Amino acid sequence: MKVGIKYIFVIPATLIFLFFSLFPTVFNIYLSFTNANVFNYHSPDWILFENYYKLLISPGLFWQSMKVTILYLLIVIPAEVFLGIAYALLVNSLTKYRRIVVTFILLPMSIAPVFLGALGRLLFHNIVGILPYYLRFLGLPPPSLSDPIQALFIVAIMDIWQWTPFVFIIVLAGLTSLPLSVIDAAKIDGAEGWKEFRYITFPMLKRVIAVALIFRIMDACKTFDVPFMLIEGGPGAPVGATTTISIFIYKFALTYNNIGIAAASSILLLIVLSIAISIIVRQIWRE
Amino acid sequence: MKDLKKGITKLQVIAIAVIVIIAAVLSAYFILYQPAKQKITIEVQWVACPEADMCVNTAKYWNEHYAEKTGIEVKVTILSFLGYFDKLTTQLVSGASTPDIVEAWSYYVGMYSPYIEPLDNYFNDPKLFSSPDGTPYNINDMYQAALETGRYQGKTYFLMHSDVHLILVYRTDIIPKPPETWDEFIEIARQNTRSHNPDSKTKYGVAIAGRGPIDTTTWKTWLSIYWSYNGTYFKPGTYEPDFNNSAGLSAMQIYDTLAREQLVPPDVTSYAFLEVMAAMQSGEVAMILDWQPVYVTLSDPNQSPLVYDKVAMAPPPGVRQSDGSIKRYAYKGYNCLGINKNSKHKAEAFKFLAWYLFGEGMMLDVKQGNTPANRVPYENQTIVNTYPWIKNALDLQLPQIGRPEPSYVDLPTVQSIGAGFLSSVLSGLNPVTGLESLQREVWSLLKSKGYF
Amino acid sequence: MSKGRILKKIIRDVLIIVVILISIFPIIWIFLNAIKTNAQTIEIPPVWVFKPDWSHFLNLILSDQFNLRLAMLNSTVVALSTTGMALLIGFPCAYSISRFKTGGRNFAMWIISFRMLPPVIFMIPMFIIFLSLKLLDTHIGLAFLYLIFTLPLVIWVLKSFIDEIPKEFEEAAMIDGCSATSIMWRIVFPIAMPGIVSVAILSFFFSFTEFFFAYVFTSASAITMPAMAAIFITQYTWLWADLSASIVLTMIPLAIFLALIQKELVRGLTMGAIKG
Repeated sequence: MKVGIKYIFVIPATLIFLFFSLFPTVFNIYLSFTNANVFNYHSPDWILFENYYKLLISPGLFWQSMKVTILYLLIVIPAEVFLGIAYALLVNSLTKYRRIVVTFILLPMSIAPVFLGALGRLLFHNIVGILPYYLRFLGLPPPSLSDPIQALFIVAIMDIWQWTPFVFIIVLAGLTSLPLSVIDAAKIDGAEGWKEFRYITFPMLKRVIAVALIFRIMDACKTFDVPFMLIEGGPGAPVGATTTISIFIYKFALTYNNIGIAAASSILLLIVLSIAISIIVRQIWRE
Repeated sequence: MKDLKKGITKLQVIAIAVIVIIAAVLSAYFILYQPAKQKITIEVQWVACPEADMCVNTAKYWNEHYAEKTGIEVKVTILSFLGYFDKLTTQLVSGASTPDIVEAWSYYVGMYSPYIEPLDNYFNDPKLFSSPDGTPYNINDMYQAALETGRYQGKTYFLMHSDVHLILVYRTDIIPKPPETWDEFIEIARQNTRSHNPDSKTKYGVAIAGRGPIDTTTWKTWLSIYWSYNGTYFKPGTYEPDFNNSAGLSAMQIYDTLAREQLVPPDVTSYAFLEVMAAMQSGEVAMILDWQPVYVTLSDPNQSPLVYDKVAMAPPPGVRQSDGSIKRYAYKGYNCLGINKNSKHKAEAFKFLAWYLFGEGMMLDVKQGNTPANRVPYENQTIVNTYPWIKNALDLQLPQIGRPEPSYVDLPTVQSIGAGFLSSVLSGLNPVTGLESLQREVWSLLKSKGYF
Repeated sequence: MSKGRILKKIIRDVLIIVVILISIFPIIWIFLNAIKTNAQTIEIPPVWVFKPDWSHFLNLILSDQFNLRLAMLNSTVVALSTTGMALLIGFPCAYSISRFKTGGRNFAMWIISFRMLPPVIFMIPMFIIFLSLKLLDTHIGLAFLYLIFTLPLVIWVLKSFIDEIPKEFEEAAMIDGCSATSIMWRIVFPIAMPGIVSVAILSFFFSFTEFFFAYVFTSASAITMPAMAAIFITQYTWLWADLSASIVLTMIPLAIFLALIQKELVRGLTMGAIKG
């Protein structure tokens, strides 16, 4: 076997990433050292580390948004991973109707997140929304998008509803790939049900679950559409109760017209996420 | 081995499918690619709104009657409101050469000016600033305030197409006479809020926009109140903001009262024009302050079956002066059109734009329901009597009480800052603190940008 | 069958029904909205029994005003292209990283770094690139753009699947003298099929539901379903029923895709053979 073949396999992917990402990334780094905005985009002034300084020092900006994002992650990630694995185990044990069930479970992902958020404005409207109407009917207080904690939970629930299938389909594929032989051997030895899962299935799925986890973390950090449409990252401004870091960057780029700060925030995010993800990767990387 | 064969075939199928698709797409592109026509086509880009639909029809009229004569064909593109300004910003900043004419809101005049062609020279060119058969147009047909709004640092960038005002819509079956002052407004709101008055026919007396900071309707609502209390935006003759004064306090207190006494729905800080309108459509709200076009939806039996015959428009309340008159203002914004600096057909675009805003095109839009920034329809009694929306605008005194914000580059940013703080006041922030913070934030922003 | 096993089966079936209900209940609400009139969607008390108004669906499917057929075709073309390319490019890359550790951890981390950045900062620089390459409003342009988002997922998921595949078959084939390429496509690819199906589904779904880039980078020719459906969000009204109808229609090609591709989501083709 030729030694160089392994490089040939990765060259197309590398070229694509290089080509499409080189200019935007370098340009973004450049912008982060300027006071660029929409008006002076083509001739901004150099302000070097002023943006970074401002972001790192003020607690109410980048760090506040990171706090919101981390809180958000703490709610949605465990829920999605747990439910995703549970769904996959349930479906994996099905023999009949498997395809229909899988289709139904995947349907939430078929709605564009922007539209989910748009419809949410109708669903949660205190006067005309059906959810508050029926909750009031039952005597329960309706969840309000104007309350910071409730808004965060509403956004989180919608995220969990929409993205649990993401974890589900990856884990299901993993379960489907498990070698029958090992499972059968374990069954003969007497390991069934929970024991089978904990000592046989789960260790083999660990890497697959970890990948699903990594991507859900990255995507949840970038959660934008639903909180943006529902409540514009509020309640509260500039960093509200649902201002994930992605909304924070958008707000500064296009609403507060400060592209320099937005660019600097995205670089900081990149650094923070790289560190966090590499810790997880280190655990699962088979050397 | 059979299993492996299955694998090979599937891969080949995928590969062939992908190659075929790519080939089909590329060949479609080359086959459909048209060489440059004799006629020049200019593209006008609008956000989805009734004015855009009017433009489609008016452009069709132009194409049928004047395309041959002028060699200019007009194509109208309508984009979704969702993300429109993100796309427009991207197009302009990247230097795209199409669309040739872009539609925006008048708040962006300063911010987009580096990417828009200044029009003053075009106005002075009789070949361009005239009808297709050469009759010259008069620049003063457009209201001075409208012309001024489209200018930045003395140069004209955008031309105003239609104006939009913030007005009061109220339930005629509940409220015999609309409130004239803000005190009356609050009183009527109390009477019509069930938590204050168990006999009230509506659950809440008022609904207003409280969303922010990306949506800025609440800031514009507040400005209507602030201006009526004699508040000014800047210290006279400067660009130094001046909101922390008695007028600001009075205006903040209106907001605070509405929220504290629960005269507005509890989720009001998530309301943009859409939710305010829906609240009125449900019949559970007695008054709203919202954009005037929502009245079209509210009075349509198909869209608002519960309230269509029970709603009316009124100018926003104001403040009674010592001589008994009411000082009131209706916040005014415009849909405006500008020529892309990188357009390849700027002169042709201006020719169409002149006809569209100063000539026959303007009247064609009026016939479809437009309220233009052009004075001609309002000063012509026949037109006023023929078209109810023109008469309506005059009845509401919109030309007099309509007031736009001053135009400057960072206007949208200030609007967002304002909306954010107003939203917080509606959520319970102390109005005095809110006003001070608002003043401080806007002041330091404008100072840092060198406005004063 | 023992009583215990029957009980377990019943519990499992009940749970599955609960899961299905959770997943589709909001979708049923959306479908109901799509057959109401726009006024009925905001009516309270909410109406559940009404005469269905199919005009929203009919307008979308039959009239040319909304370009539904074009948007559906465009979305399908872009989805197939980007998924096909992602697999063609991503699978060898994943194989190489898994078997040969090409580039090590750093290369793999670099690949996913693109997914860490919010799309908004890519908007203007990417638009400039596309403008100069005349890729705006083309299917291939959008397909490449989506590739940047789906390729990292494909590579990482497939890498983790390939990691779990025992190397015996490949080693045997190597001894027989097969080239790395043929080993990869003929032996590993079929075994990794469940993983491939899962990322194909995710990539396909992503292409049909991504809004912002589709909206900014396409116009008349390559407009996709989400960008078309958004036209019902206007400056002064939102047409909830029409929007809901568009959402429902978008589900149809996705459901068809799922029906076709799930065949391959079966137990790995040769995994059972390892028994012997």
